[in-house]
Amino acid sequence: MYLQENEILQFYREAFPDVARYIHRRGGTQEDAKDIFHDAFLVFLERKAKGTLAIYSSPRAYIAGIAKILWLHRQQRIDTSQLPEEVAAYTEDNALSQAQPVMNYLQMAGEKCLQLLKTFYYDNLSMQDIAARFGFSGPRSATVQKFKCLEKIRNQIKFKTGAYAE
Amino acid sequence: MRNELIETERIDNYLLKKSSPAETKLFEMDLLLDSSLFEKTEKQKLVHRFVRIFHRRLRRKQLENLHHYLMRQPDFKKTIDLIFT
Repeated sequence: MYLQENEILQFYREAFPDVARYIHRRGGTQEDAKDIFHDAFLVFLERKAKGTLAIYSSPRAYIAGIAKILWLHRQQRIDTSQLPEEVAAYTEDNALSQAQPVMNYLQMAGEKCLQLLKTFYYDNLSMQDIAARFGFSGPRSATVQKFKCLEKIRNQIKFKTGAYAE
Repeated sequence: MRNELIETERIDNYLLKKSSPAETKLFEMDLLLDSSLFEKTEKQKLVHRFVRIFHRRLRRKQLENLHHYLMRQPDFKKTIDLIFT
């Protein structure tokens, strides 16, 4: 489920001070608090959009909990293998983004492809909704276009021994 | 849909866990036997991650803007400044 911008603003306003207090108590700066909070908030937003968010208390407590884990991980007080699955996936993607020219691969696909792939793989919208939003005749033709975009990027990736490069 | 797109769809269904248990088992057998399918699957998995990373960066920029907006609100700024003083 998608959050509206005003809901995001409200969440931010309520949840950030908790994280800021925690980071400050553990010797972090305001900049650290903001960075950690953004990471935790992104984990929350992505899980929510994907429909895989498991909250046992409140969204605010969930974000604070993820922020604590991310801070401990950054301080190397917990190992990657100890991270919950959603946090581990997030930190692995961040590491990959620093090692790979992600933009080079994606930009070649063009803006429309990027938007199309985003709405499916990041925003988790249905092909029905995507077809309507992008003006396709129906979900099937939107699906075909989505796979063409995917192939365009995939076919640029060349593996080297033990790694991959452009 | 041309054959290659059908294969791309099959890979996606596997990666997104949309295949049935029988299809998954068959796909995993094919992965062992077909190195080209294996390579395409690995690359497709990377594309999923690249898309996620790219849009996460955009989302992060939005959060930065939101942060600056809130820090221009006197009440919010005061709350945060008090924490760090």
